[in-house]
Amino acid sequence: MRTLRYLALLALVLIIAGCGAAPQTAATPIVQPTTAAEAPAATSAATTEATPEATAAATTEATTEPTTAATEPVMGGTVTRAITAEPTSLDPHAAPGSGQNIILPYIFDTLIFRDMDNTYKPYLAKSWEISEDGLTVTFTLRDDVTFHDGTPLNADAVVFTFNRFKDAKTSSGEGLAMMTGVEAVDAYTVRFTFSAPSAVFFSTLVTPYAGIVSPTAVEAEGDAFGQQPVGSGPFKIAEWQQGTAVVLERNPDYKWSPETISNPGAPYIDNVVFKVIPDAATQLAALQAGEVDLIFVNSPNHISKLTEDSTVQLIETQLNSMVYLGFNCAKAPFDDVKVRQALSHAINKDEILLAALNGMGQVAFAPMAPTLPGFDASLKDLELGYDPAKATELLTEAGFAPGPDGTMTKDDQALNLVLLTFARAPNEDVATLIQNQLKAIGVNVEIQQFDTATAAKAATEGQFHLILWRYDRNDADVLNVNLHSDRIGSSNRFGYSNPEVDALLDQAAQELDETKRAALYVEAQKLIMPDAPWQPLYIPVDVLAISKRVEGFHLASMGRILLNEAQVVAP
Amino acid sequence: MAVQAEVTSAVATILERQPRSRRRIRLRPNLVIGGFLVLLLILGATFAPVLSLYPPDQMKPAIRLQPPSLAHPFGTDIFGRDMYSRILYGSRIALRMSILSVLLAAIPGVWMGLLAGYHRGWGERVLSRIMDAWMAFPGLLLAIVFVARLGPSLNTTVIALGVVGIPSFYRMARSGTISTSHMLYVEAARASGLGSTRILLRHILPNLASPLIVLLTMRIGTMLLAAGGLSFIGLGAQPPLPEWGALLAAGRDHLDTAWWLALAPGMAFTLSVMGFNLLGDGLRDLLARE
Repeated sequence: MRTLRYLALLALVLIIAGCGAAPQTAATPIVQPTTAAEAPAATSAATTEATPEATAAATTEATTEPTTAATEPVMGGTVTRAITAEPTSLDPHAAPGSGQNIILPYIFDTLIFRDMDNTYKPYLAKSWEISEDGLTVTFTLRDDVTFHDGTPLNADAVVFTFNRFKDAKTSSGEGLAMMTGVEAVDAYTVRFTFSAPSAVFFSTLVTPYAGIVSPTAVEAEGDAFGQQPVGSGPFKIAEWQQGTAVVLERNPDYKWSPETISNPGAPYIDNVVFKVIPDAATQLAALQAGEVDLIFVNSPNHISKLTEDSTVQLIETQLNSMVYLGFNCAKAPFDDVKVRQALSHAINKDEILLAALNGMGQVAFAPMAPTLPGFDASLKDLELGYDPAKATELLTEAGFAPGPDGTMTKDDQALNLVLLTFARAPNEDVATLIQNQLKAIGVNVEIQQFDTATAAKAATEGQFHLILWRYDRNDADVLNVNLHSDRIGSSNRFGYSNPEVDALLDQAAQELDETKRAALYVEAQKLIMPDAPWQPLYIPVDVLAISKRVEGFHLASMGRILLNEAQVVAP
Repeated sequence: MAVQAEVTSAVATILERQPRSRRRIRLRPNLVIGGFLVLLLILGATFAPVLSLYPPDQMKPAIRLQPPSLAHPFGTDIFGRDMYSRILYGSRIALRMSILSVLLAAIPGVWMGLLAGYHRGWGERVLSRIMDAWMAFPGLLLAIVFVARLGPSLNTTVIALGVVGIPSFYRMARSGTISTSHMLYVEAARASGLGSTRILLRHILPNLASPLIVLLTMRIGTMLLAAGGLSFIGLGAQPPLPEWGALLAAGRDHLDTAWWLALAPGMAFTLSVMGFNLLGDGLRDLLARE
């Protein structure tokens, strides 16, 4: 009897040690503690930075052509993808930020498609024309497209969609800020009009949130549209098992995929299943056990682990991301630029890369991610690099002196700071290193990490001194979104304001010439970097891990995976 | 006063009447092993600064992820911190959190149980129903809700676990009080005009000592694990505190490349929880014979 009890006790301890959080996490949606995530979806919060797929910029291409390309494709089968959070709604115009952006592109098509080489390709729109003054854009639509419910996709559907998109009180529609109207010229021609030229309009059109919705379905279903979405995509919704999975089935009528896809018609596979697995380690285990075929990985340890797995293929995605340390410029002590510069100089990015990231990724120096227009290698000269002596010197200039316990103090105010971040690997490790590095110059840091939604709320409310954050964005307007003073209180969480920077950012937003626009962003960064609202830390590596039982994935930019030509080649 | 002395001597006689063999401390293995493990934990926590080899937060990226060696008996973590020193300092946190949260549960729980069991009436019925309802919630889940509301830190974890633990002490104290409050010596004390507070503290509470000690010991083990569990899911200790649950969570990601990171805190949990449970078990055998 007693032995039994000991065994039970031991078993309990082992269970706790082993699987730990999983059951509790699943049971309580409020806690998403160790969440690693597929998409930085989470990072973007409800405010601004769009989610990876949301925002499709470009660059990486990795197409795995089916080995059976020459022969008949293998029909049937199911591809299962793990998602971190169950979407609350699959309505493209509902509030973003809970993982729906991963599912939306399979159900909804967009007017245009952004190709890997950063050019826009026809999709639902056959062609388009931009007026000389940049104030009108006219699209000519395909005339053979129908929604899943049989409604024809015509100019009226597009007008309906964009009016709904612009009305939606969500950040995903903010790329349409300068759009004044959209009208149907004839049955298959749509004209957008603008108050000023909009540089972000086209990159907004390729986000999943700009998917064209069926007007008849929206009107018939009302609020239930988020549960029963009707689009024109290669897959349609089959079943939503609440809390467990979203199941899509192939759309047999599909014949309008973008031209880069070798299969113009309906997908080969029967179903796509999105399985909700909140915990990153569990996702990894599920992939290795063959329960899922596709996961998004951003933990350096998990990536190293998967490189040794011969049953899995790794595809590096390019999300135009950057991880940075932000300062709350609205609040003491960071209302003093010298203090911001001092702390920037105290950060050793090489050490972060080595210890927290296992050497994966690359050190960042400018606010613009290297894959976005407006990045310039010469900006490296303006970097506030690692120099602890300089850091101490700047703090002294700002009036700080070591207090009794060694903490830098000014007017009896010791530098005890709150660093806010969201709980996702490797943030905790990076934060711990920053804490240690700042300790070396006499600054105490308390790390507060929350689940992504809570962290985003605290960030928007400015409840932090330091913030360890990340952006993933398909457009250079990431600087407008984060650092323009108009956005203070919403997406400019840093309280950063510089009228000269604002002017350059405004100018860039209306510049349709890519080269000129990039140059404006470089100028803006030359002003931003000495102001130090951010210390850019590193460019993360995110990979998609795909089981080799499936072939023919087509990777688009921003981590989007198209399954139009995927085949299940092994049982 | 005379009455009281009489009662006390009566109790003494009752105790003495018990056969000697039962009162002899038999060195059962669970008592010995449990006691040894708990002692080890207490010594480790007390002398952590002396026993540790390095400051627990000292980072040396140059020696990161070293397997156990003489210089680093439990290896080093991804920042090059010495795991042995961290585990040692972690025992302070573990012990403090578990003892504090148990006391936070025991003091109000026992006091309410005493009052309810002694006075009975509608007050007791209401309180007992509330406690039943309280107990119907899964304790750890409730603690998670508390911590999520109040924000993660060691103190909120202690408070949450303490609040959650109240009913078990209440029930133990209440049932014990009900059965002792009709004993002759309590009647005698009441008849001699002692106030109820005095009766509860001097005459009834000592009678609850054995089950209380057992429950306290067992609960410390449970709370140690619960506090570690909360930290494991990121709700308790925040970095850089070397809390065992947090260490375990950090080590979990490196299981196949650096097994020692999870092994050390895992063993620390296993041994200390086992220690408290064995000790509690042994004490029960020893004490709960009356």
